Amino acid sequence: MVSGGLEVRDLTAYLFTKRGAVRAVDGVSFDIPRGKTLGLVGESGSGKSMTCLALMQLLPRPAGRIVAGEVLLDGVDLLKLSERDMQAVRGKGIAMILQDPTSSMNPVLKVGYQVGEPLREHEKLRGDVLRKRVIDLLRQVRIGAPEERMSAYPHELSGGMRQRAVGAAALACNPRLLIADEPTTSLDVTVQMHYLSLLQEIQQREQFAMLFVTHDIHLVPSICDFVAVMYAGRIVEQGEVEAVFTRPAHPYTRALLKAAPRLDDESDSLEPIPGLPPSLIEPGAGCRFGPRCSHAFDLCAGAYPPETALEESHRVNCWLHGRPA
Amino acid sequence: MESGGPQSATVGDSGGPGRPPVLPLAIFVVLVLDALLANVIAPYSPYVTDLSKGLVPPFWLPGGDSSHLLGTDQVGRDLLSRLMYGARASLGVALATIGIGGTVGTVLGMVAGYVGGTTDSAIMRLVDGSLSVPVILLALVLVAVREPSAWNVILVLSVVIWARFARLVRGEVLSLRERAFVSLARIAGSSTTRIIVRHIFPNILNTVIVVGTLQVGWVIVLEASLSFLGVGVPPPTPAWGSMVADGRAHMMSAWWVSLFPGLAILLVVLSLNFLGDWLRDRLDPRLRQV
Repeated sequence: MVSGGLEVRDLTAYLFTKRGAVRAVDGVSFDIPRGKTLGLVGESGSGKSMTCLALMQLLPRPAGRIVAGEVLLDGVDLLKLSERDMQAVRGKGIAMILQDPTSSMNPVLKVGYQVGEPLREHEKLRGDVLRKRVIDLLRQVRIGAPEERMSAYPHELSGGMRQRAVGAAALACNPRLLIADEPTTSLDVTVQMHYLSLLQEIQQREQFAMLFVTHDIHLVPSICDFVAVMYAGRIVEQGEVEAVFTRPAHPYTRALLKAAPRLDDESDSLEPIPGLPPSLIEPGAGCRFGPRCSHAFDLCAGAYPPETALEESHRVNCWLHGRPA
Repeated sequence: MESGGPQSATVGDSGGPGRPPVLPLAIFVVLVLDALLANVIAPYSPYVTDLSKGLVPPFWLPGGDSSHLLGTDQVGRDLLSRLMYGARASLGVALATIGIGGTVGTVLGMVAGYVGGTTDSAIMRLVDGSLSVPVILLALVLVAVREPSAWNVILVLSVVIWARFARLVRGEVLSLRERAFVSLARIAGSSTTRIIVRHIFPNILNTVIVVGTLQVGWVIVLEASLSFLGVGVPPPTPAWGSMVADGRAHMMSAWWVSLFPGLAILLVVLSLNFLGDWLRDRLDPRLRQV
């Protein structure tokens, strides 16, 4: 279907708690071809981070478990691998960058050691060879004087520099998929764009697939090729960025676009979305956004809307677009 | 933990308290040297008795003798020499105990904290168990079934002390393992053992050092208590606790027999507590990262 990259089919992961199974990731499907970026957007608690952890098979234990689905990385189903083989995929096949650069680094180990860790772990590099690779990596993420920075401790680096060092570690083994979970949330706005363009530039060269997770929907057009909007554990709309942003079909996507400030928007009022996301323990049969949706009608509470293709790669789950015959 | 070399003299080093407390450090160094060199510097053998010279007072008192600076005990053994050799027993037992108990406790604490679940519960119930064992009773029982020896004392004290390390280390690890760098290490494909050794252990090492220092004092007191009760280091090997016990009968007339070993215990424990406090302030990463 796609030549390489990531294909996720019906990924379903529950958190089994005392009060019942939390359907954190509920039948999620998407593709990311090599060299392309998918933006995964949604509110806090919509299941974005859980989706990432499920891809890594690092759901919180013992509650989290993948119940169904397929995760194909270059055609290999990762869910069928043993834990041992999966451990070899983490950091090599799939790498990840987390939000907080401060706690992403171990305060008592030197920067160089930490950037080189995946190389030591997966490629068994040691000594001078390792040192050279680490210096190259640091240079690649534009950290000046890499020979000196290597022997610095994380607290001696600025936030932006630390996040770039974390990026260098993630890219060390040339991963085929990079998951960036809100990598710029804790950075200054000026540093943010710099960091993102750096990531993009490296992606152009290395051609890895990137899953870019964010709650800031307006960051998406500048770096993503595709976008998937997640709500209450499900993807409600996905497609090419241009299509979704100019012709948003799902009321939730429209609401998200209106709820965040934009520079080019003349009207000065933001529209909050009323209500809160539903509990994911035994959600009702109907559309999960239904109770908060201003367009809801009788069908919405009865059954979950099927996926409707609006354009070639633009799909939505909403009864407004897919009324039964 | 600070790296050598000129470029490490940056922001981090300027914070935190400065010099170590001189007097406690001096006392501790003197004590260690004394324990190591007892056979060279002690004026007499600690075992040779001389009944004609029993209960000689320290030299500055009437009847005192400058050949026995701190006087002698009831069987005429030189008190200064016995104090010096006693440092060996006290320090040796304390260090061995902290070494064994500290290692076991740290390892089990890290495993409990990081692995969690049933393993954690099992280890922590063991901790609760050992913390509820009355030390002295355990020592009495052990001496009743085995030959009295210094190893008994080390064994008994280790059984008690490991739990303190385990509990503290586990608490630290519980908060450490939620930090993003641990998640990232897992994401990077590191194994559990590797994460514990490379990421968790360096972060708790400071705590372990500080607790270890503070616990040495406590172990010395415990060892002295056991020796005082006659279940510690077996006589005639001098130990401060048993020396205090030896002087009990003559407390009113020859107070020095009990006083000097008692003072030695007091000084050592106080110094170690001061040193431990200083180390804690010095090594606290929150102060270091200012």
